[in-house]
Amino acid sequence: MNQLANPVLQQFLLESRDALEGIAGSLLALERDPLAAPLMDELFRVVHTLKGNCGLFEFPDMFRVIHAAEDLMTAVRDGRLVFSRGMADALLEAMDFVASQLDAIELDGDPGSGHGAASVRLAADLRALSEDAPAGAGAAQADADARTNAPAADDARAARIHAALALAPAALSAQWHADAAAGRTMSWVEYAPEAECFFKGEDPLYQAMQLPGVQWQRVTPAEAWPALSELDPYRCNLLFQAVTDAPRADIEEHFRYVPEQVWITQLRLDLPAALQTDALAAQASTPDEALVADALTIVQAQGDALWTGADTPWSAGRLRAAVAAIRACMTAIGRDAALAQLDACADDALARANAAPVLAWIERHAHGAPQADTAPAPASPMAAQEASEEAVPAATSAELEPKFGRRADDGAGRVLKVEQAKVDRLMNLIGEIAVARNGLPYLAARAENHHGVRELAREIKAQHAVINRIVEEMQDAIMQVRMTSVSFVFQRFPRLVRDVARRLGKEVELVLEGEATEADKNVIEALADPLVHIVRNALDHGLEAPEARVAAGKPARGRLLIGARQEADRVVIEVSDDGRGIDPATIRRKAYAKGLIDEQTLERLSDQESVNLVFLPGFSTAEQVSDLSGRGVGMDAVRSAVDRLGGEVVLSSTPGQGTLLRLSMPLSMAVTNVMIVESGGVQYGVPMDMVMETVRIPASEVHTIKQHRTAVLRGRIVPLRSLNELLALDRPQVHNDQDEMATLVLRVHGQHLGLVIDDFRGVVEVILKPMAGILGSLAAYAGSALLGDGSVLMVINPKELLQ
Amino acid sequence: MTIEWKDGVLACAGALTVEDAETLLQALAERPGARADLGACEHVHGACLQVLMAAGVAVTAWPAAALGAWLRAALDYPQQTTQEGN
Repeated sequence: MNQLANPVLQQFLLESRDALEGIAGSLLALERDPLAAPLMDELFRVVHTLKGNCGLFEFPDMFRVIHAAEDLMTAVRDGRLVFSRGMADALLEAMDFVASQLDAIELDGDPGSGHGAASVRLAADLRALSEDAPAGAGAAQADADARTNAPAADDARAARIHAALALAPAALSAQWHADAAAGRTMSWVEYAPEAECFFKGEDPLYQAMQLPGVQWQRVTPAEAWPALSELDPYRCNLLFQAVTDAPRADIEEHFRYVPEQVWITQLRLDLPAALQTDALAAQASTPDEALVADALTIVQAQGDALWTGADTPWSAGRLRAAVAAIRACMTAIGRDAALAQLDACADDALARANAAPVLAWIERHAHGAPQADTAPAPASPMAAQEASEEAVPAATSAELEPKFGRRADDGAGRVLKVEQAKVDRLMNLIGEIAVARNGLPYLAARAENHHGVRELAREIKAQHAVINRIVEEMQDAIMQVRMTSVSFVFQRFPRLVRDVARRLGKEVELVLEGEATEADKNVIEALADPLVHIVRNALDHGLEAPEARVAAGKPARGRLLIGARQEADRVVIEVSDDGRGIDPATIRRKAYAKGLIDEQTLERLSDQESVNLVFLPGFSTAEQVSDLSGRGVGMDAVRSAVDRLGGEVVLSSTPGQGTLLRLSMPLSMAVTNVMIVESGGVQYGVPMDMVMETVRIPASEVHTIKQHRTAVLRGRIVPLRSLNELLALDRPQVHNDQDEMATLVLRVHGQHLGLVIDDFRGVVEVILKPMAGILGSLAAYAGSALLGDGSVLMVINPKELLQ
Repeated sequence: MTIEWKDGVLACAGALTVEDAETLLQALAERPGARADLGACEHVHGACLQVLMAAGVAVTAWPAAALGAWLRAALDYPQQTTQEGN
């Protein structure tokens, strides 16, 4: 019942999402370079695989759309259509539909009903595009012509059928005439596998062999063979032709994955009269070789049966049955000449209670026996028919067994796809073992001080060193596992930029740099939304329309650069454009008009600082609200998202030349260095990356300016805030014996600030757990961490606390 | 699969898979107009089939059943008799 538990479906969902991203990427690349054949091949391959996978399940709506998309791509790949933007739009829309279906399937195992109309519409759009193909082009190919019914191609086909049928044994064509007269329908099947089919794990011969009801077949090269030295064995150049009496629906079902490579038509037996008479006259002369082969198979099968299980009580009865079957087969194909000998062998075998003589006879007469020894005999067509029908099931079951070369399987097994939850669990366990490890020094201290066993304490410490090394390696290893490249986020930009730019009527060249830069998966994932916001902003507000750009003496096509690189333990992402830039004066005025800054600040702000006012909550410079960006939440939301991750965002701009937005994020959020401080009798943690220095300031050097306490440090005025005061603890900070105040100098949003505390304690590495549930709303804390002695450390979030 | 020369006849046995096409092509390129014994073949992949076709091999023994029928349809036609005569 629960489809979602099906591991195959899960695998399908995973692979399909990968495939969709690949498709989107290829489409966009194709748009830039519509003639890139390798891209088209790649695109086609992915779509084809997606369709094949989809066919494993009952998702008809999805299948219909993918199928239509594949048809369109076939047309483009074969050169019958030229790739255009319209096509890219249609295909992208189709893939969006598929993505939405995947979403629905992921939720409740079923794409849900009611998408039929949408899928039919999408498929019709795609078909409409593929039917724009000029009729007759590539007439040798089967697909489009079958649909458009180009008469010229039909004539060519009809001629081909005649030419091919002329080669069929006369007896057989006569039989078809009789059948046709009796009202049986025969179908002509022409299967032209595409040249690359071998690379998709297809085996056209196997496919052809499985075709039901084959009466006659022929295999020819699609084009004349080149010299052997120039032959590419992996470019399929085969054309399969067959006459079958299977119902048309069965044939279509059989070729359901390659319908564009198959041409099926009802066999019209309007052969020239002369040929007919010839055929009738020749009827008795040569039995059809397929029938001969089938009959011989039966004979051989009898032999195989006799080989096994000799010397059993029933072997005599089996021998008689086998001989009877062989006799019927040989009569049917007109080889009765050898039958007298068979009788002799059978008698001999029965007499000796050993099947060997009969086996020897089969060996002589049924294994690849040349036709030379067949005596012309009045073969009964009906008997032959029966023989062949009997033979078919036996043959198919035997031939079904072997599985043939799927190249894709060879390289599998190198990469393991694991659910993130499993990795997270592992990481949590490693975090816990790190905390447990931190308990060992406490234990050693207890052994020494409490129980007075120094020897034991030393051993515990030695053991701690070993465990410590292993834990650190484990942490490192799990971090490597969690590292994801920024391409995870970047890959969505080509599509996004294209769509947005088209909607805005702008021309944009997107440049991505440093896609291989890695950072923790959580960091990368959390960056996705802010980056999308930033990019939309850059497209909407940053880059000008082509005319405006030309008027400003810039190339009409704007340039948007998104780059990533690693700097020490941080990953830096920069988004820059060469657009109109930001005018600091405008920003200042806007911020003042909205009451975000006061008059003094207005005077004081530098241009650089002014530009960064856009991060203030409630700031929006857009004159009108568009659906892309500019709802006044944008940059504010970006900054808070980046802050949450322990990152920083800086905006700089040169009016008329462009804007640069720089995000700096920690590589990993798993292990955090915190400084433990004491205030109000409680220990708190402060993230180390914000601590500039620790100083002890004599109380006498503190000056009060207005109501704010400040101190002069290294020639700079640093405002001082007391932690107790910020946390609303009703007690003064404790000064040390020399009446000095312990002060952490923090860097918050680019400004220095002194946080006065009671005392410093030291730096530890902790696994920071974000506050969850009810505590989650306490923004003043970045999270909590377990210390080695089992106590909980609250880690302060200075950015929030100091707002 | 096994491919070996026996008295000037290329004897193929087992399943000729897609990977074997290259080997087959090399073997046949060295001896133009070769004869082949396919009697012990369990399957012939399409890629190998086209190598056999392009090389114009004369087949001395056919495999059984549907495979044999299809191979004959590809490799044993009147228009190819000239090649078989080699």
